Amino acid sequence: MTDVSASSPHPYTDGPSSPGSDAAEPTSSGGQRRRERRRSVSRASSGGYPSSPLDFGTPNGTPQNTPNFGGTPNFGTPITPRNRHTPLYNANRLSSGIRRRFRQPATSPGATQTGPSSEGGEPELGAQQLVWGTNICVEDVERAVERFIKYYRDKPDDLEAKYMKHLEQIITEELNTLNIDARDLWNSDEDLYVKMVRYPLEILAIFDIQIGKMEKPIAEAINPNFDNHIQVRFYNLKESVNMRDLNPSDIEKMVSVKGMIIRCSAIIPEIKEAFFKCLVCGYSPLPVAVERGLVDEPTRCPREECAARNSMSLIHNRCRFADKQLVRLQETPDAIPEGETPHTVSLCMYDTLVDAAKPGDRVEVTGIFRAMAVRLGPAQRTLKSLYRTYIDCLHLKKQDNSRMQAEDPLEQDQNNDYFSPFPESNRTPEESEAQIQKLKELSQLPDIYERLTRSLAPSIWELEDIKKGLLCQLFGGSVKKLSSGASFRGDINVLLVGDPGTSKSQLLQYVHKLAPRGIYTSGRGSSAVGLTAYVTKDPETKEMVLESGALVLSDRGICCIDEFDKMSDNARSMLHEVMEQQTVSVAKSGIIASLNARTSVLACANPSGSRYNPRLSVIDNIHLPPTLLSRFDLIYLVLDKPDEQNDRRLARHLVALHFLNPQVRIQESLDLPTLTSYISYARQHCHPKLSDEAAEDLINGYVAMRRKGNFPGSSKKVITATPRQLESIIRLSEALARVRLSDVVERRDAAEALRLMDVALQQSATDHATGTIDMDLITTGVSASERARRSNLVAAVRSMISEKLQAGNSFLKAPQLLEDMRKDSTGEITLNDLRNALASLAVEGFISLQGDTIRRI
Amino acid sequence: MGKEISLDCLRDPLGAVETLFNGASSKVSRVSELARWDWGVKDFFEKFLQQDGVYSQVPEINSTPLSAIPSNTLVRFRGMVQDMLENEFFIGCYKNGESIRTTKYTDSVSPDFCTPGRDSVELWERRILYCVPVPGENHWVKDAFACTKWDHPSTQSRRSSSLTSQAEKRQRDEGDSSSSPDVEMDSSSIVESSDVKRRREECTTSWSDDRTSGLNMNFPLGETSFGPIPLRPCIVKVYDNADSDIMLNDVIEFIGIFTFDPELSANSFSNSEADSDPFMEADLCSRLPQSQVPRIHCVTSRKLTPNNMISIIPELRQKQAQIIANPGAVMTLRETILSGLANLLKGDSLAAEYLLLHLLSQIHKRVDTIVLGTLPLNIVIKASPENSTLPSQIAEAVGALLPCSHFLPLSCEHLNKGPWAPRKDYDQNRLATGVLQLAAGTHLTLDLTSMTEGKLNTTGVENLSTLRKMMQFQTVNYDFKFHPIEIATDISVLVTSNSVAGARNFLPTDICVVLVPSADSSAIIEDESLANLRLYLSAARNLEYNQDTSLNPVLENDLVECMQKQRSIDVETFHRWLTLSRLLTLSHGESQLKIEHWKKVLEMEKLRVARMSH
Repeated sequence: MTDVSASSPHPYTDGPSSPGSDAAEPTSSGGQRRRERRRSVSRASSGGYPSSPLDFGTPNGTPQNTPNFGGTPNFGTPITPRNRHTPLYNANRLSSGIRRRFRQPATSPGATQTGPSSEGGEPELGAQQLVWGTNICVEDVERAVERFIKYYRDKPDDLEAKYMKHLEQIITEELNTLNIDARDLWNSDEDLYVKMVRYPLEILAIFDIQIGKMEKPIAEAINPNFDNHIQVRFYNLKESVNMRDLNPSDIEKMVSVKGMIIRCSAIIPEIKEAFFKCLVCGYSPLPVAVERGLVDEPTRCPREECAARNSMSLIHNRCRFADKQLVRLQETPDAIPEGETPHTVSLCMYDTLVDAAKPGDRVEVTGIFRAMAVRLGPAQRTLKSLYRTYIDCLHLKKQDNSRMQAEDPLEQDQNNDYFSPFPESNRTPEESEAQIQKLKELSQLPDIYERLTRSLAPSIWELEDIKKGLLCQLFGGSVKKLSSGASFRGDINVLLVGDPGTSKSQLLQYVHKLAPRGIYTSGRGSSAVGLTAYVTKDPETKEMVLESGALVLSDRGICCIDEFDKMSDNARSMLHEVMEQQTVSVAKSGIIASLNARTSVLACANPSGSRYNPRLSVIDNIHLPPTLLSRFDLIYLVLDKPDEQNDRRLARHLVALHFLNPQVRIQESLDLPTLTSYISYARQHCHPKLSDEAAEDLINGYVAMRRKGNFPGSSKKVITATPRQLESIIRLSEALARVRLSDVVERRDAAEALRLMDVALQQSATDHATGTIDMDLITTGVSASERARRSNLVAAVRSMISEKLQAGNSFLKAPQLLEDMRKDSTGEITLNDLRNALASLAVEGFISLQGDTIRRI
Repeated sequence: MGKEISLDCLRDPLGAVETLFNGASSKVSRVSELARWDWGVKDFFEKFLQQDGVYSQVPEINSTPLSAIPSNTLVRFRGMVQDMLENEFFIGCYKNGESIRTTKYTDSVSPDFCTPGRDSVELWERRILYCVPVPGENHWVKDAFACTKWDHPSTQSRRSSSLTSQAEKRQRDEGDSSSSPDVEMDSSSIVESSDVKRRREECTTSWSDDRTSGLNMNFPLGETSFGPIPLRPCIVKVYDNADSDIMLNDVIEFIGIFTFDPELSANSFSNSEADSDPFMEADLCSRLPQSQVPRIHCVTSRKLTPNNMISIIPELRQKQAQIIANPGAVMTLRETILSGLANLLKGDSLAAEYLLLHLLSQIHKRVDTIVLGTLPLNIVIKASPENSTLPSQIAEAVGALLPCSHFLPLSCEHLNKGPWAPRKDYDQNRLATGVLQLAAGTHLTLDLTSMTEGKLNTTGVENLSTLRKMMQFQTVNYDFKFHPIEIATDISVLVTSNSVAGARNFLPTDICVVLVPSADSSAIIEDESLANLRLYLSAARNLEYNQDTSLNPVLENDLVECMQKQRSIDVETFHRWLTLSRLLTLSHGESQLKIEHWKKVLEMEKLRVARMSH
């Protein structure tokens, strides 16, 4: 068909004389040739079946079943249900001729498959009705359509056919669209599917007609008032095309494209039927249907008595219009190759699809790819050699409502048909199936945990345990919802505290790259509203708009906050709510809202005195409020310990990094895309539950942690773990189960979670006075031994004061008291300590304090 | 056939295309096959361009006034891909009676073509690039390109074996029943056929009507003219996926057919259809007036980088090879450039050494988020009236040495003035540029000495953080409203500031060199040696660096020793040292690290740090 060289005459090129006009208009000569051609095909397959066109009496010859398809002189004129709502089919024909002429004669297997039945045709004419320019037999298709609609069942033992059920529902609810899952069609009739994708215009028309026929008996039975024309909308094509791969060969084919809507036009009323009235006699003929975007304006009054010339005037309010909207679709970020800008494609939406999606929505669109010649101006004849392309939309499926309420991988409804494991990539199911298989195989490796750890930021040296903690954060625990409505977060928060230059920021960057969603921000310069949400005035509409900040934007992701210590107290206080309740509440300018911020926080902070002082507690080192600190599940100290062995390895690593050209890849690690898909698969598909043994282990571990406070020789009660830590351990163990893509938390997960917790605690919650773990350090900022020291001091001060002062008259200055105390006691006492002690005595009512003056009450 | 057709490729490239097309179309059995290759157009034009003196005869847009270029002739254009527009579907070829015609490399269908749908029409696809003149390109580069020869990187090797390939081609041609017409390329004698005349008729359009009606040309740095000639962006149409590896911000030299259709142009502003079709009609191509934005149908192209910008010019490449082969010459040039830079920097030879290494720096590796090879330098200049012009002097000197550079004084006012990162303008459906949309290898001098007290607005804060991010990770996030797109950059940044801390508060400048003046800054480098210095710099940047692993233990030992001695030394410092040693090696025209270079780096660093503590 593609041969246009004049030397090789082809039956198709010199066929009908009015190719541009219509889709199904076989002239006698063209039709005849085509028929013969097809005949030979079917003969070949049906093996000696009577194949002469004059063979009457073939079993399926049911003329009344065939609509006057090929026989209709003009396919586009309103023949009953063909008169589709959309301008689709009209606009279509603009370029349909082009396609036909260049298409290979479709030697579709279907023609042969349905062999015997296709012989039926129209006995009167002795000719097959074929879709113009193809060898698709109309009756074949009609039968196939009917078969599909009437008999397709999801499961063979379903009582009712799927689409008959839908049809009944449509009729009862008086709807007008029937959505058909293209994969159902593929499963039941591959041939029809192929035809539909290749020649969507014709096949859809047949679908519409057949459904129109089928609905009638049903409608009569259940809803006699029903007179909508039901349109078929296909969705879920087997393959979706990458937007930038759309090319001229896709024109006039059914395609499915994913993308993000960036602009919507206003609704355009498009004329469907023009109503004319004679200005002379007032006669109005029947409305004129729009064809190929043009209205055939009558030049004279059709009434014979009048027949006035140029008297017909268009009456706008009696014309019929349909809604149309132009929408621009842009590639999703993941489909854009590196270093290129996103492509866009225009969409035409009609009727119910109008305003179905808003800018920012991620959608999957099924439609027909069209090309339209660009005319310079309505009056000009010259054509630019350009064609403008767009997609006539048939179906639109939203992938997620918007970025803020993005699809929830953790709570995704698994029974949903449309659920796809990789929602934003363009893969065929086979490919994703293979990918899943690969991931599952990976998960079976005995060293998968170590391997994943190695793959995380391979360029960053050492810090194994921290990487393991970050891995847990990436995988996350399960969200627990109680029937009472309360929920426990599954997100794991991690804080890295450490010396400058220990690659903390790089770890953050890496996690940010890997995280399914997230924001990277620096504490310096982040304000409370920048992190949470704020209300602004829209410059255009002057209305109040709620803008989300970093934490809300990283809902379901990881919010990386660098330089956490530099953050203003005000901003940090906002984090309290986020990190435990996982919401952000806004009450401002009349807007009261609670936004979801189910985010894991990964923060890193520098010690207050630029380098970590091991003699001080974590609290003293980072100057963070203990209330906030306790909300971090894991607090790691990234300390730069002088260790020659480590230094040497680091040096070797750096030198290699700079000078070795073939990259030093750490053995057996996963590349970034695999790691990302592994994590997202795990997050979506694994919802680990604690096994009984693991639960037992966790309980024992927790009890042991608490018991550590009562070490021998200590009468003081030191709390080493709090319920928050128990929750953290559970989350960690769940994350570890996810690492193995397992739905059950096993004993080894529990053991590793306890170990990770221990490692993190040992580093951060060590009371340097006693060398033991003390959760009070985290929760109150004061260790138990410190508290004991303070209470001793208070007692000493009390006795000192009661010795020196009588109630009422005399007074004592604080510095003087300090002198006396120092003489008395052995330990070091600072003025600050003394003031604290005096303050607590004043609260007791033992003394009164005015500046440095102490009076006995 | 074997008949010889003389073709004037310069003035009638479409004639050549047509000849080649006819040759091809007579050989194929299917029209669709014609879409698959370019019928030898690219090879043909490349061969043509390699002839002596041809390249310099091809007028260059932006160094020739547009009015002097006739329509439908061959032009060249050097530009940076600023934006990628939507691909165009066009009528590739159509059948007109007995003959097949093509509309490739043109904008409109010839008048003998009536309606689509009549007879056979093939739709083909082409890529549309919006290219701006290379931002920050220095004058001497423009001059160098004005008169030289075409030398495609890919043909360099091919040319050596041109004999065999020619024979091959002949053979292939003979394999087909009809051999392609022997094309005699003729650039001097012009045989004006009627066809040529027809094509050239339209060329005498008036360029005088300069509708500079606030049209945003999207020049990142806002340079509007080169001497008396206003700079023009171009819409380049690329065919056959030939350059599918073209990326945003690539610098490319296109050779193509310049088209100007008065009818299309006249129509560009009448938005007769725009009302009915809100944004489908308003595609950028038709909105930008042809008189402002010339259209080029690319026949062949070559990628330029700051490194090969010089060496792609054959004469210069030869000279460069001579220099690099002679170690003595390299050392002299190194001394010359150092003394020149030291003069500039008031006699400070340490700062000059750092500046030289800085000029050689470029990214050589990205590992995850770590960028290796860059050397952001901060020259700290004491605030004094006589020093006030020093930053611009430094920038000027850099401009004389590197192909692309830009001087950017940082002030509140400047920072607040509109976003520096490019962003998508969905109303216009184009990428609005920003200062930071620069080609790889561009040098940026940021002058912090001009910073004054003031208030930064949101834009200013964002610009500053974009700048910080670019310096740290060498990426810029382009704002696509719904999501950012991260674009990798390779921009060397030199900061001039008045104090070490003052710079650190704004920008991540690790390497601060406090300037210690010992003399007045004087005339820099005389012109004749400049040319050689450029060659030297470009050669050094191009050197392959091979690490001899035998030195690794020495380096490791030194690093460990330093770590043991001084805990404040961190990973960043080591990266810096290793980068410096690499650059120092390259600056000597060597490709292997020597121990004395390493020692010198440590020495330099010691001196530099000592200065900072004063």
